[in-house]
Amino acid sequence: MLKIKVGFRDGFKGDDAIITVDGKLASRVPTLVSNPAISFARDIELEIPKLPAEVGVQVPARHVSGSVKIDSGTAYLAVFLLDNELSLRPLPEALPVM
Amino acid sequence: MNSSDPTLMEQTGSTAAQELTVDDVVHLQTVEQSVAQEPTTSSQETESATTLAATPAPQAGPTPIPPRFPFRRVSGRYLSSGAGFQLELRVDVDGIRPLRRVSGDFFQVLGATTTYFGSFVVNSPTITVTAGAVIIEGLGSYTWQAGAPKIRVTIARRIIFQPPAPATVQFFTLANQPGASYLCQFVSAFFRTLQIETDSASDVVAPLFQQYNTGSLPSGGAGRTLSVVSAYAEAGIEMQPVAPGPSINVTEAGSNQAWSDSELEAAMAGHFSLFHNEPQWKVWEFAAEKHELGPGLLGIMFDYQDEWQRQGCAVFYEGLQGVTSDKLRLQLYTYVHELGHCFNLLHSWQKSLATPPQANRPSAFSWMNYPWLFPGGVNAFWSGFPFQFDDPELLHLRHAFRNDVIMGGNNFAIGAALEDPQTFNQPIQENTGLQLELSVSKKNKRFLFGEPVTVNVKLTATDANGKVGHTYLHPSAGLLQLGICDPAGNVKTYRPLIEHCVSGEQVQLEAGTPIETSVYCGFGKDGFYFDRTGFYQVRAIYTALDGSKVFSNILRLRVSHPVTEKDEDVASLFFGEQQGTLLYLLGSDAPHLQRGNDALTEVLENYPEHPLAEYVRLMHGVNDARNFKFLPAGERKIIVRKARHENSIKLLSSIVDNSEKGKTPIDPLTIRDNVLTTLLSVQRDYGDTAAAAKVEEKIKVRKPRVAKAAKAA
Repeated sequence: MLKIKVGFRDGFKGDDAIITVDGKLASRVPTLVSNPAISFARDIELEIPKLPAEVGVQVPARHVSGSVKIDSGTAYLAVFLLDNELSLRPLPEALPVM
Repeated sequence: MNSSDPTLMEQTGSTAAQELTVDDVVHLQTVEQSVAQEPTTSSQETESATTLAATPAPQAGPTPIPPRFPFRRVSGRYLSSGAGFQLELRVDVDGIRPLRRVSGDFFQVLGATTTYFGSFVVNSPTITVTAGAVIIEGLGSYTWQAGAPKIRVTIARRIIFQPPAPATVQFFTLANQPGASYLCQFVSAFFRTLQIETDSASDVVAPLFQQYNTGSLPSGGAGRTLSVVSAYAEAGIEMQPVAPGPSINVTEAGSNQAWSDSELEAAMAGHFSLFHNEPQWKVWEFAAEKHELGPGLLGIMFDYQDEWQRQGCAVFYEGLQGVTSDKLRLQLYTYVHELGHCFNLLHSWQKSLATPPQANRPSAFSWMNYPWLFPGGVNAFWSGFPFQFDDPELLHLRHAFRNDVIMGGNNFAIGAALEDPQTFNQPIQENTGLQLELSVSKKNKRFLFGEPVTVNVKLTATDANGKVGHTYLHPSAGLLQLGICDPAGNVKTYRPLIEHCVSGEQVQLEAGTPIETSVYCGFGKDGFYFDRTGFYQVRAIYTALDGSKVFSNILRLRVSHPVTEKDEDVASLFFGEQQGTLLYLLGSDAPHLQRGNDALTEVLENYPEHPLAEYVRLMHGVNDARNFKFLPAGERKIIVRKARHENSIKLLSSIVDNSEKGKTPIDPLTIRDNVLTTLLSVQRDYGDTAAAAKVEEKIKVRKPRVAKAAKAA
């Protein structure tokens, strides 16, 4: 079992998000609001049963979704919602905030 | 200077300290105009005047040549005096990273009251240098409807031992009738001056940041010692530190001793000695131990919620403390970065969140980026980072309208960047070993009104040994920008409808083996970019993964007037948000684009012989080749519309036939990369192997190296 952080970063305006791992619902994240000054809304912890895994994120109200394959080199998954497009960036360590 | 050998320069790359004289700048202006092959009278006059200034007059007899002393720089800030209106003028035509701009703020003086009135900027002035004066002329953009919008600034040339000369500013109407004039005295070599107070919290035990030698670790600029003050000084911004107040008791952060944003605001209001809720050139930086978001938060511009925003920021030593070079580097970066937000600068990759939105620049080597998000990775960022703002940010800091930049002015992200006509200026130095070319496959570079505008982008290694680079030549990957100057002179950066993250993969580009692609830039996030008739200029900038930029030629193209009523009708069927989206996507069955599909299908049905009907064939031909999946409104089940092979083959084959007869307006690269490639695939799916083999042959004949499409990360 691996634990990673999913960091919701830019572009969220009170949105709810759904996270799936290998197609199964893993978490519902309510009311995300980004602060553009630090490019950050919220970090949540996510448990990954086995690697590699396909992590999916959906923002139903915006009709956007995306997924990315992660492996043991991923500790942090940064999620951006810019120009109504979802972008997922797996990173080896937590993304600082500034 | 190199940190270990004072006789060596650190490295080339972006020359943070390179200083240009106004003669250098005028020379560049002349070169640009000759590159553009449109020499004007003023540029010729400029050149001769420059020569005059640079060459001593012939002397009679063997008189010794008197020593020539350098001229003073004329860039900086000037101020008029007197009642009525006062003008604060910023002249930016020489010195470090000159942006070739003049800008200013007007203040109305009524009795003892002075109020801000408005601002202007001249984006593309003509600079003329004579033996006696520097003259800068151009048309300004104003925050109000100016009656006399043209401006001429005249500054006498003085040698360095003389005091600086004043600037005479004359405004003119569009009919060249003189308007008001101002005599502005030189105030400072800096474009803006502000006061900064840095206070600290009682629980910060680590030594507070003072300075960092940028030569301590690999970087993309000259090694030098930078403090917050000197980093901003390099951008032309003077920060005058005021004495810090006594340390602020951490109990003000509550029982958890971690600061929230509202506690930080309260601390600013209570301890910032210069605090006032009004626009003012004063800023507060607070060094604290920790924020309630934890050690991952290195700094924050916390003043983003009330009416007078951007007056303060904070940095947090829980994540920053240390005296190693990498820690000092991070401290400098965080301090300068947070203050950048106070000047209303957004992060490099989120410029599209600004009002008005700008193109995102994720690969910018800038104080405002995140090293950890840089496309080439964190080490590539630090290795290429010259410890400076990028050019559009510099333009904002120096010349943005006052309320867009001053602390306590517009809310954060409102007016956070000027449009950047700089795209059309020649770079000062380019040693990239790469050449970028823009072209169109059109007779006389002429497009019909309403025609989808596609440009060809070609990248060639000019270095005999080849060159390592990336091959993402489409703007959707964010590593190539297209600037479009419309017939009225407005410059926009093309923003593709869809952007992709790319992995930053590099390849060896062989000399003489170019890579190329076609880019449809007629429609994007800002709508249609070629929606009026007239002459346009287009230029591309390729950003290598080391941050160096390769500028293309300036492509001039024309959108012609509709000749017949039929042309007019067809054009009106092409213009529409849905049609633009469909052309960008090369077709779609999405129900919300039905109106656009109907309009374009009408072209095919009512005007099948019109040249623009070919683009509808292309769009339908590519879309029919797909199994199109969609979710109808209110349904839970995805519908799959199967590929319509026969229709696709018919439409695409018709384009290929027309292309072989020279009768299609579609460019050869699009024929190769979209028409033939799709046709090959659909014929294979359909099982027509003989026809597929013939198409494959046609592709081989036309096959040079192809640029990569952006791929999702």
